[in-house]
Amino acid sequence: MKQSAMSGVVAAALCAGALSSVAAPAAAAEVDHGAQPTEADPEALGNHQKNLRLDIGGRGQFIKSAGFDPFSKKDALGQVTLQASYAFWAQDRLSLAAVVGFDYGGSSANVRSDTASLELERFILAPELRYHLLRVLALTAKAGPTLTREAAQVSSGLDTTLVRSGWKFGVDATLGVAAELWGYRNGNSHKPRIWLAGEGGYGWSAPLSLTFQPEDSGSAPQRLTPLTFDDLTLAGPLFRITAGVSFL
Amino acid sequence: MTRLITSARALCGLSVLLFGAACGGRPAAWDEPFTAGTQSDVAPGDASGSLQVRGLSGSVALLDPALNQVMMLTSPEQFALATTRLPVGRDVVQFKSSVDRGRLFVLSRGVTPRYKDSDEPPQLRVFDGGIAPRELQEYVLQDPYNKLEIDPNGQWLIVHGSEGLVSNPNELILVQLPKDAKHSIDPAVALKSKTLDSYGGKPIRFTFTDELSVPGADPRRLLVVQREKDLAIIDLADLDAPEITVGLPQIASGGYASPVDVVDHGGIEGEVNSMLAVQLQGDSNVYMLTINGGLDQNHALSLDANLVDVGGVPSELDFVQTSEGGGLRLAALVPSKKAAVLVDPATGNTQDVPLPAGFTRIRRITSEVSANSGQDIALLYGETTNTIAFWQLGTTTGTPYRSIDAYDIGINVGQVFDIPTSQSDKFADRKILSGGSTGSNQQFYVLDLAHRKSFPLDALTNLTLNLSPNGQQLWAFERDATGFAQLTFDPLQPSSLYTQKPIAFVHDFATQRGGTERTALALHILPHQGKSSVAATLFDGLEPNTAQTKFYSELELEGIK
Repeated sequence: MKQSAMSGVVAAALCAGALSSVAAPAAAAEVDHGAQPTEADPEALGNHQKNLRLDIGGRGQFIKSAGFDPFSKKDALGQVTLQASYAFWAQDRLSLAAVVGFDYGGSSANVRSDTASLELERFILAPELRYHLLRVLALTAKAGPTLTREAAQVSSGLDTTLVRSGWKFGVDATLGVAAELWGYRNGNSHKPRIWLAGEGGYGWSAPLSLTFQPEDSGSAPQRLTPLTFDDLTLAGPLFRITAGVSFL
Repeated sequence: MTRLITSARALCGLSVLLFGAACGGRPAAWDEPFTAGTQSDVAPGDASGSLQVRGLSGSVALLDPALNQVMMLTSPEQFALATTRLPVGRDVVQFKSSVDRGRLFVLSRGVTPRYKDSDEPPQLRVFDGGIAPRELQEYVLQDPYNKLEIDPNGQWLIVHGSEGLVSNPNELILVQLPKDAKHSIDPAVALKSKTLDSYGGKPIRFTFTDELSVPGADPRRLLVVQREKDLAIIDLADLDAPEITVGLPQIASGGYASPVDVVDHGGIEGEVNSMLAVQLQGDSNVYMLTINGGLDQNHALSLDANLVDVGGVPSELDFVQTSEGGGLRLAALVPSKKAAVLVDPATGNTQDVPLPAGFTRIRRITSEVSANSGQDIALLYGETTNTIAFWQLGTTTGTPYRSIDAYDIGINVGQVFDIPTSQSDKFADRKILSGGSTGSNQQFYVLDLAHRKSFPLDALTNLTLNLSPNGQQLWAFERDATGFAQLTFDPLQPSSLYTQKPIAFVHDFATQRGGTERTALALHILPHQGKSSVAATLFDGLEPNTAQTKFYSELELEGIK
């Protein structure tokens, strides 16, 4: 577990460094001729900071739970991430955004003569604190509750599949970095900006007892005793890399 | 844009690298499909058949060869099933239980060839088959062996049959077993390697004798190793003593006779010493060996041989007593003469006893019949006759026996099953007679020795019989069918039972709650995705009912860590 956690932190740090290196040439143009003529300072953070951003990417989590073993040959779970954030408050370099996210993914593996598969849908609603080191580079911190639907199934030697599903609350807490890869320098510009963000942290979901029941009880033998695995606890270091586009 | 793509690729690559590096694996056991272990040398009447499964007194042991483990299925309470996994070593070649089904013996070859010290050596492991299964003893062997012989009295094991590039078939490993699970014997002391002197022969069969009296020495048990043309007799009370090699007689064609079977008797004080009798292959002679006191300081015993012609090739031998406390005779069944020949061991004189049929098998049942007169009673049967007979030894005017009561039972008896008596001897006077032929309508018989009654039981198919370790009931099942039957002995009542999956094995055993509570388990090996899956239907072990069961699936996944 320690090794995985350390690896997550190292991953986040390396991601930040890598993003820093690509951030410098981010400006698409010096002047946005379509920008509204305002009295605001074009050098201010403006819409670099306060914006609506849509992200798509991937989330990876290291999971050491014994309950996860039947579903994956590795202690890792990959998911697709969709995320929307709205930065509604800013003060100097600091800003606060509300984040709504959805992760979808799963894993399957042979369990001896059977096949076990796990499908996950996770929702997150969290505040994200952002601190702009540079106009195009911000550090982020996010923590919030998650709600995960975990659906597991085992193809058994019987004439029916054994299934188990449930909703579980949890929490994700991450630190990260977001870099604006492309966008007008002018903070007043309303043209879209392209972002690349990376974050690492820890995710935890409440344990799900894996007690499988037949999907079609009519096909199963009478008085079938549920198949049980160790509880599934989706907990461990995580990282997420997304590409996004911001508006406003 | 090119920089954007390059940067994204670099980040993804970095992430994958870190992700992969940080990922651990899961226990390798999850990746090993289950395949039931099979065995080729199936003993006649073995309820396990070719499957490496053993019904024990408090559990069912199923070998999981892919994981080198045995799954011990126990029942914490009625309708509850628990799985305990115990390591057995790699490449299991023998998976057997003791006669009383209290212990499980597993012989493994380990890693062959063994290049490194860390490679697993060949092993023999002994497990407690009771309600709390555990390993009792582990013996590390120098070489891989293939064969395991079990002492019916539960005191000894013989490991032999090495298959090295060069191997000595006359090398035996004798393993002395502790008398019960509470005792143990230091493996260094318990294991004794013995290489038999040989004149070209190799072991064919092993016979553990009962305790035999020896003039001038303590009573002791012997191990008789039958070889192609001689016997090697090992004194189990003194393993350091050289074995006694007894050459078998020459036959007319010029070669040496080969042994078929050896029987023994502890002798009768004041009348005759302990004896061995050897049945010879295709020979009308029987070889009788009288056990005398030792003639040198290396041996506590010596043997005197006597060859007796019984007038025809005997099908089976046994010692019988024709009078209370004496009258020891060797009975040789000679089917070609439709007779039993009684041989007086003291003089070698023979006496023919005409029989109503050409019986090929004899089983002494004296101890099973509670009220006996001191003379032996034997059950006669055979694969070539529909008749069985109770032979009351003794003498009356004009006949060398008291009575021969014959019964036509309509089947050729291929096998006689004894009722286990280690937990209860209530039904010790019953025998199960099983037919040796096949047909559309099969029968087996329950024989009441005390009242000389035989109860036919019809079966639709040729069933496998498995007697309960408690000696109160038996299970009859057909492999890969979904029906089976329980037969209680009092009352003699069969109950038909059904499962929803094909049956591989049926057994009942004590639950962990103790008392008389028992669980009956019908084991299923289910084909699945080209592999196998293990399931079980649990019944009440005493009053099973198809409507009151519990079904457990995917047992091969239980206990994997």
